[in-house]
This record gives sequence, C-alpha cells and structure tokens, in this order.
Amino acid sequence: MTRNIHDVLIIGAGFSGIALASRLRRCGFERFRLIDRGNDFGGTWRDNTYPGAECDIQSHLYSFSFRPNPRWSKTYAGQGEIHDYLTWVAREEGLYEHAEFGQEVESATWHEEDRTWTVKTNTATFEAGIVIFATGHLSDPRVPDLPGLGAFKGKTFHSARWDHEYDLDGKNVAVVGTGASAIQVVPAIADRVASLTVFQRSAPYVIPRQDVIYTEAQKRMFERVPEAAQGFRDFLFWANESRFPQRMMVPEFLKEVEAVAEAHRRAQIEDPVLLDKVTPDYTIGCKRILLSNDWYPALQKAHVELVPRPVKGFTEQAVVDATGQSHDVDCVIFCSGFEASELPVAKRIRGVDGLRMDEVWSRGSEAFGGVSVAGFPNLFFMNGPHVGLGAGSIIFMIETQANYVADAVQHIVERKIGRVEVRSERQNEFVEFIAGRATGTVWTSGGCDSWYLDPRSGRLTTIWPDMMNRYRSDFGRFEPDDYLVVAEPHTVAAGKTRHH
Amino acid sequence: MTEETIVLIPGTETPADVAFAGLKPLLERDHRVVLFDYTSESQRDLDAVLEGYHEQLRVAIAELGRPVHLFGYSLGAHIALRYAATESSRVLSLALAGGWLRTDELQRSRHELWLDLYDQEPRLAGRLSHLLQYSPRYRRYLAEQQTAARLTPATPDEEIRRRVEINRLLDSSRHAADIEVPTLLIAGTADAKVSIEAAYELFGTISTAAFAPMDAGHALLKERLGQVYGCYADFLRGRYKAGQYIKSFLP
Repeated sequence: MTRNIHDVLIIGAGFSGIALASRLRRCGFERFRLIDRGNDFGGTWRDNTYPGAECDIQSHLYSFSFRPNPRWSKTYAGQGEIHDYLTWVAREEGLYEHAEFGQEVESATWHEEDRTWTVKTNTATFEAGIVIFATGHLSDPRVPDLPGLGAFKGKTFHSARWDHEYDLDGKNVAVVGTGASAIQVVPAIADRVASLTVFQRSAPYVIPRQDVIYTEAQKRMFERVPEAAQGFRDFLFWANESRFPQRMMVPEFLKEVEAVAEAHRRAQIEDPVLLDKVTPDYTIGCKRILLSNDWYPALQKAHVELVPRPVKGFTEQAVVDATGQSHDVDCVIFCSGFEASELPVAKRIRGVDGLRMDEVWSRGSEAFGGVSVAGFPNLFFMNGPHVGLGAGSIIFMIETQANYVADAVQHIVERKIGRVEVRSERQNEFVEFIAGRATGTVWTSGGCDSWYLDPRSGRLTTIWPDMMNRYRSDFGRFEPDDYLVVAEPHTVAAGKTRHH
Repeated sequence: MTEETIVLIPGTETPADVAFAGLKPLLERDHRVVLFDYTSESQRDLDAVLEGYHEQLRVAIAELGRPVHLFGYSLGAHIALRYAATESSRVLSLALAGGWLRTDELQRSRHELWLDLYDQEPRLAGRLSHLLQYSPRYRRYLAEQQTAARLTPATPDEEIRRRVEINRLLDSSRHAADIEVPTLLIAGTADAKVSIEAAYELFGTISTAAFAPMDAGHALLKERLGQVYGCYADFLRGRYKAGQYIKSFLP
C-alpha cells in the first residue's frame, strides 16, 4: 500500500509532539504526519500508569499555555487526569487526523541525493523532508543488568510498564530504587502487600507536597476569570525561576531548601536509625528533589523495610543486596529510571554519509540549542539533550522548542529550501556554553551520582543549566544564520509511505 | 566572562548583599560584580546626606578605574541616576529597578506615616514597609510555592530613618533629563510604594530608556528575580532600543 504524505514527520505523540503539531496547525501548516509507537496520544503520561503516578510540577503550570485547563482537580494532577488532558488537547487541536499509532521507529536514514529522510517503522516506511524526534528523554525504561535476574522465578516489571494483571495483594514485594517513581509507588501499594522491601542506593531529598484539592468554586473561578488562572500560572513560573540559585549552590538559597527538607524529615520520622538511613549524603538538588507527604510514613509501616544498600543480584527467589544478604520476594518492581543520558533512538538515526547518531554521541549527546545536530540535516529534536530542568516546568521548554521548530519548518518550506544543517561551530559554541554554565552548579559539584551526567564523560548533557527564561531568550525563534542552508528543494513534495 | 563591571546599588532598607543575594551570582557568571553600600553621619542635613551617598559612589567607581554598568534599586536608582547624569563618561549603561522620577503626594504621606510610626516604635515602621513591599498576588500565592519563602519584617535603624526622610523629598527630574547612556527601567505594575505611573514618568523623561514593566510589587528582586535578571541580561547584550516598551512573555 502506498499513500502520499507530507513534508514533515513528527515522531512521538507526547507533550512535545502535541505541542509542535498544534503549533504547526495554528500557523496554518497541515502537511505533516505524526507517528508514535503507542496506541494514543500521551507519551510518558500514557505509559506510566503505576499506582500513585502524579506530576511533580503544579498542573496549572505543567500544561500548555495555549490550552489552559481551569478544571484541574488538584495542585498536582494524577496520571489519568494528565493523560485525559493530553488527549483532549489533541482532539481540540485536530491532531488525530494527522496521527498514526503503533509505529515503532526502527531506523531513520538521511538521503543526500534527494534530501529526504526515510523512516522505517515496524509496519511502514515513511519519507519526509524534515523529521522531528519528539521522543522525549524519559521514555525508555532502564532495568539494571544484574547477575541472576534471568534466573529469578518471581514476577518482575518496570514501573513505567506496570503489569496491572498481576495481583500484588498479599505478595512479598521488592521495589528497586528510591527516586521519583518509587516514592509514589511505595505508599500506593504498601497497604496491599504482605511485605515490602525497598532498596536504596542513595537517599533522596524529600520536601512537603503542597497539594490542594480545588473546590468547585475555585474551578469555576478559573473558568470564569481566565486572567486568574494566568496570574496563578505566572506566579508559579517565576517562583520556580527564583529557585534556580539553589542549583547554583548559592548558600542563602541552598540553606532555605535544605531547611525545608530537614524539617520535613524530622517532623515525619522519630526513629533515629531510619532518620539516618533517609538522610542524603550529597548537596540538595544534585538529584531531583522529591515531593511527598506519604513516603516517610510508608517506610515506617511494620511490614515495610528500607534497605539502604543497592541490589547486587538475584537468586531464583530472592533479591541479594550489596552485603550479600538475601531477601525472599514474589515480585520485583524496578523503579530504576530511564535511559536518559543516552537516547535509545540515537542508535537508529543515520545522517550524512551514514553517520550514526549514537557514534557521534559516544561521549555524550550534544545538540545545538538541544534541537539540531551537525551531520544530521533537516532533523530536529524536542525534549532531547540539554533541556531537562531541575527547577521548573518542562512544558515551557517544550513550547519554546515547538515554536522554534515550527518557525524552522515554515522557513524551510516557504522558501523551498532543500537542506538546513546546523553549523558545527555554532554547535561547539553552544556545548561550550553549557559546560561553562554547568560549572559550579549542584549537578556537577553536588557530590552525587545522578542520571543528569553522562556516565561516559561525566558531562552534564541532560540539563539546561540556566533559568528557563534564558532558553526562551536564546531559542525562542529559528535563526537561519546558525545553519548551513542549501536552497534547492528536497524531492519529497509528493512523498510516500510504503507499508510492508 | 567579560571584563566589564556591574555595580549594584541597593535601596533604603536592605544592604546590598541581602538585596542582591540572587542577582549577584547570576550576573557573576558573565561579569565582574561589585556591591555598593552607602552610609551617612547622623548630624548632617539631608542634602548633605544625599550628596554624601553620591560622593561615596564616585569614590568607589574611581577606585575601580574603569567605566561601569550601574544597577540601582529603589533609592539606589536615584543614586545611580544622579551619578550617570553627572559622570556619564564613567557609565556604560544604567538600569533602574523600582525607581521613580520625583516623590509624589501618596509616597510622601506614606513616608510621613512611616516616620510617625518610627518615632513611636521602629518595629511598627518596619511592619508598614514590609506590608507594602510585596504585590497582593505574591502574598496570596506564596504558600503554594514548593519551598515557601519566609517573609519577615525588619526593624529599621537611624540610617534607614535618614533615607526615608530623603525619599520624602526626592526629585531627580533634572538628572533624568540629562541621561545619555543606554538605560533600562524595570517597574512593578502592582507596586504599592512606587506607582506604575511614577515609573512611566521616568520612562518619558529619560530619552535613552527602554521600559520593562513586570507583574510584581516593589520587591522586584524577590518576586521576579528571574525576570529581572533575564531582562537585564538581554539589555546588557544590547537587545533593547531607546524608547522600547518591553512586553513580557506569558509562560
């Protein structure tokens, strides 16, 4: 089967893909296709269905500026509500007609002769003049490669691929990890299981979750007075910006948030042994600061044990910790994070002269402005390298990139430009800038081992080490001078999709 | 990092290290930053006090031995303005946050109430100032921050009292008209101490000024640290033109 497609292919139907597709349509640009390996819009909020899954940024901010939702149920909405919001936005923005689901990308290859990308998926081949990987950086679960895991006879799954068919009631369960997912999973399942053993490599900083359930009157207020919702959103945005000096390790700012975390620990825990176990040994902010009111209480339940040691391996029926002690369990839930520093999709992208993205990125991912990579023309990333945040809403970064990429697409298409490739010197300058800004921040000097740093080079590749508004200032719009431009058009004007 | 130096001048009630606790390290990533604190002797008349502040700034910049970027907040904006008008060859640019052209009747009555309260009990004057320092929106939503900042009124001293007396009578009209260096004005649209109209007046007077209103009270550096920093950083990169009204993006 062969069908005509359009000039632009967007891969990924999460927040990033929706933002870009909406922006394109709002600019009157319809010649794009959007594909995703899942079965609907929603990305990470479609996939992470684990019990207790909620947002860590206030929902009135963690949502699109162009589609405010006055009816958020509470400060930090849950997974289902956020997923519903995203599918609602996709419907309202008319994106379903542009979308094709169940398309897992297997390869993306640049063809210099006709200046097109060929993207092969599990069921089809797409050709497009411009490709955007809106695949996110927290999309592929990471399960540690530990000895004996294959021999373990119990049940195992990752929090991002929760097995809802598996009945946890009355089971002896292990949770591996104490990061953002674990601190939501553990309180949510603690009362259902017979025993719960939580393995901790390093203790996270936890602060109170100021979670307010909005009354009907408040929702109606936000509906009737959109300015009130915008004013609240503005406040939240700039309040988050004000936290950035914490990440720069400015003492006055660090002390303030450290005091909040310490007071929270001491208010919720009396047992000095547990208090010692949950007290972090690095500077606050080096890893993600977590928000929870029920994490510490859950750890104090009689049938819950916190093992302050990493997992060393598995036997047929047990998890073995770093000291060699075995813990018999029926089920292991990996809350072990995602392939963040090395984007899995990089292995599947081949640019000029067959150059593979993961080889170019062998010492860590690098992209000009987090969007473009030299040697990979007509390709843009969204929510890829360099743009993760330690204090703020990623949606702001995503919308900034959506505007930038939509601007680029229009520039290329309207001027019938065949090829744009970021100038390598601009990319190098940008990478230097990131390294300079990262120096002295808590991410590089905070004394922790976090996924923010590339394990191969020790460089900060996943985080935007500056205020969010600085990113908007520098990358709020596409600047053609940053790119090598070849004027002749690509030949995908009547591009094709070949289903095999 | 450039070799250019920024001098930060605080307002009436807060020393420079506290007032610029957030702004200074942000700017230091790209510039040399100097905090300027000023003081006065108790016996001098008010004109002499103001002249004394100006002289202290003149000496400090002379010691630096190079032209500087001046950033003044509130009363510090008047001190910076006066210096930039009279020593323009030593000033690369001027930024005034929470500044005004001349004290109006409303400001004067607030200062007089402050002085009455101070004479009764300095702590009460501190509370009045604190109450008017922040925008209503900021105060209302403060508890919703992930790490709620504690806001505590300070108790003023005699130095602050002299500064309030100076604030009562300030008029920088003549100096503002003489400004020739690129200037950025940052103003809070919900400022209860300096009305936005007073900031507009400054914008109209300084021919080289660009104007950046922000949805904040007088505590611009607390409520909108990121916006003040971002706007100032862009100004230093030459992104604004004289006469430009800078609109904020909606996040």
